[in-house]
Amino acid sequence: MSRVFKALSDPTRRRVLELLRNGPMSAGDLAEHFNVSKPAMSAHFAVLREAGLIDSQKHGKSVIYELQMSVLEDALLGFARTFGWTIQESRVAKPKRIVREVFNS
Amino acid sequence: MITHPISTRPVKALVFGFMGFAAAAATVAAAQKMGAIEPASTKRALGLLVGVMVAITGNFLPKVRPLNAPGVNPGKAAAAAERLAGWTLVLVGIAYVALFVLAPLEEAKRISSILGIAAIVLIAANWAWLVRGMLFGGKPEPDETAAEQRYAAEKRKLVVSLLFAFFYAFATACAAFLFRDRQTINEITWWMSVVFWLIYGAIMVALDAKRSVN
Repeated sequence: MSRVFKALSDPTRRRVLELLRNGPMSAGDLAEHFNVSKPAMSAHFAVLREAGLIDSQKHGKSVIYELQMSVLEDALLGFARTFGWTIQESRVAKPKRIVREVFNS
Repeated sequence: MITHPISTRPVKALVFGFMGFAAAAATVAAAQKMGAIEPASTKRALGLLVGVMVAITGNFLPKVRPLNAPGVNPGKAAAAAERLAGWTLVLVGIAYVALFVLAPLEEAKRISSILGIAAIVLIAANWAWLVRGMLFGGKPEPDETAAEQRYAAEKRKLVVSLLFAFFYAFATACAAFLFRDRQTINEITWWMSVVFWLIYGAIMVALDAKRSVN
């Protein structure tokens, strides 16, 4: 479930899921909607696929992505969209940084 | 060639969910026979179990993609129908749980049955024109291997069987909760089982015929 939360915490990934509501789309067509580099977009797709929110199939040279969300995941997406929910990376990283500093000192 | 095979995780969750439901229902029935719980509590527990099963099935329904049949069903329409069915079942399941926890037993049985039957009718009406694709599949992808086609056919067969078992159990529970007279319940459930088995047999024959064609 943490993978799902992680996947839904990013606005770009949420926008990808919104676009896929209109039907399966190729990676190229999806990428056109974002001002993000290709590797970054691939990383977003990988996170979504790992969380089981999308399924992918390779047709020739293009990869087609399709939505594969349960009702609970759909509700979580709606919740995240409504409240603009994002995980504060700095808050997650802070305890690790503190531990590192303690051990290094 | 398909690089990421169709996910089986939701199907496995459904299988284990049904097995868990059957085990829990058998435990409740055995507890009543041994006199550990009263008949009224048994009915409440069974209503709760049905509600949980309906909600879990509804939750995973859009994920197992039962109507997904490229070449026959339009992707967007099939996904929308699956999502509507999933949400309907989840809400009905939650209503079942709330009713069997909070409402008087007779009211809970009556209202939950009406809700359940309404949900089944809504889903059946919404799926009517898409079921053709669900049963007979679509055109295989041109670069799909024979093994991948066999895998997709087996998965389709399993999902259809599971959904059939679910709707049969759900419809039987609704009928059992709706009528008070034991003889009426027995007659209705007997006829329902005859009709369901006939339809199930026809579907399995159709699926096997489709596979042999492929």
